[in-house]
Formats: sequence, structure tokens, C-alpha cells
Amino acid sequence: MGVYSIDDPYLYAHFRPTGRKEGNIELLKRKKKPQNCVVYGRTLNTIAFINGLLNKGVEGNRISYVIPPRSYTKKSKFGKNPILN
Amino acid sequence: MIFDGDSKKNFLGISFIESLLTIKDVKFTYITLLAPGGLLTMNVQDYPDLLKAISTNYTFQEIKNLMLDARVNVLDTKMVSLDKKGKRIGLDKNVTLPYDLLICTVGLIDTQLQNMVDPQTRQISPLISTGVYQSSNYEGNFKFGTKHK
Repeated sequence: MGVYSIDDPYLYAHFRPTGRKEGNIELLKRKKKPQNCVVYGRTLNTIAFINGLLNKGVEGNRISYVIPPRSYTKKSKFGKNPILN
Repeated sequence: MIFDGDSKKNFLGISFIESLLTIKDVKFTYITLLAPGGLLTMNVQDYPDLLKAISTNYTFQEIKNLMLDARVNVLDTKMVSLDKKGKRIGLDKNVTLPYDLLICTVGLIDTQLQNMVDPQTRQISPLISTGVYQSSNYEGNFKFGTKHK
């Protein structure tokens, strides 16, 4: 599927340089038709992951960093009471 | 003695093992750590190789200095079943492992890990996190290629 979670225990195995053409890092680094990567999140792990990709040799223009909006609606028992929320 | 936990996300099991190994008068043998994906130091040689932030009190150098993979048995596997009466655990590689003491140090686990994409509908689950937060711009049944309003 190509979708990975930062909490995947095998994340380092998925993004390890394997030397094979179908490896994730090789697909991102290859010269002919390199693939793109979208990193979604707003946490320190997101930035650390992008830093790790860059250190592995993936070019910056291959990485899209999607920052979700800060505003959110929190479900609460108190409804729309601004004080209790 | 078997420790079950994800050693990359939380270091509860590692700190517990470190405490046991530092007791002078008692020597614990046959300590096994179940670490799916292996220990951090097995996959990372130095700081630039890190793909995640280390959000614990252990620094990377401290984890390296522990040399846990040389002092205890580290198994790259998950526990999938538990037989309390028989004192055995089942691993995801169709192997059972007997134990005298089992310490579960799983900590917080991302329950959405396996539910990111529904293979039949090919839709992403509405919640990315395990919390109750919901983006105010989010519309249900998110599909690839659609834009948020």
C-alpha cells in the first residue's frame, strides 16, 4: 500500500538501504523516475523522519511535508461550554 | 524471565532490565526481551540514521552503552498468545516460549497502525491518532486525491 505509520516497529527495516531496485530508499533516490514521499504530521517525529530521509541521501524535492491544521474540534461531555472546555 | 514490549517506542522494559542487571548481589540469567523490529541500536549506528525522535530519558549513547543485545536474549518477534496455566507464550513465528516470569511492558500502542487503509474500500480511516480529536475541516469518507474543504 505504501502507507507507513511512524509507530511501525519495523519502520527502520522498511527504510533501510537494501541495494535492491524495489527498496523504498532506492525508489526515492533513483535517477530515472524517482518516486515521491509524503510525510504527514505535526510532531517532532515527523521532522526527525524527514531529517533521517535527507541523511540517507533522499533529495529534498522528493519529500512533501504536509502539516495538518492546528485547529480541531474536541468531543467533550460539556458541549460548547468555553469555560469547562 | 521474559519482557514483552516495543523497545523503540517505550523504554519501560529496557529500564526494568537495566535495573535488574545492576543489582550486585543477584544475577539474573536467561532474560529475554521481545522487541519487534529489534533494538534501536541494531538498526541505527549514529544520530543521522535516526528516523524517530527519542522521547525518553535515555540518550542514544546511553542505549548503546547498555549493550543489551550482548547481555540478554533479544528476539525480533511479537507475542500473539498467552497460556497462563502452561506458562507459555506464543510468538508470531509459530513458536512457543516457556517462561517463569513474564513482564508486560507494552506501554502505549498505536491501535490505528493496522487500520490505516481499508483494503476493500481503499479508504483511509477517519482518525489518524488514537485520540478523540477531529479536524474541523475534515469530512468523512476521506479518499485519496480529494481535498479538504
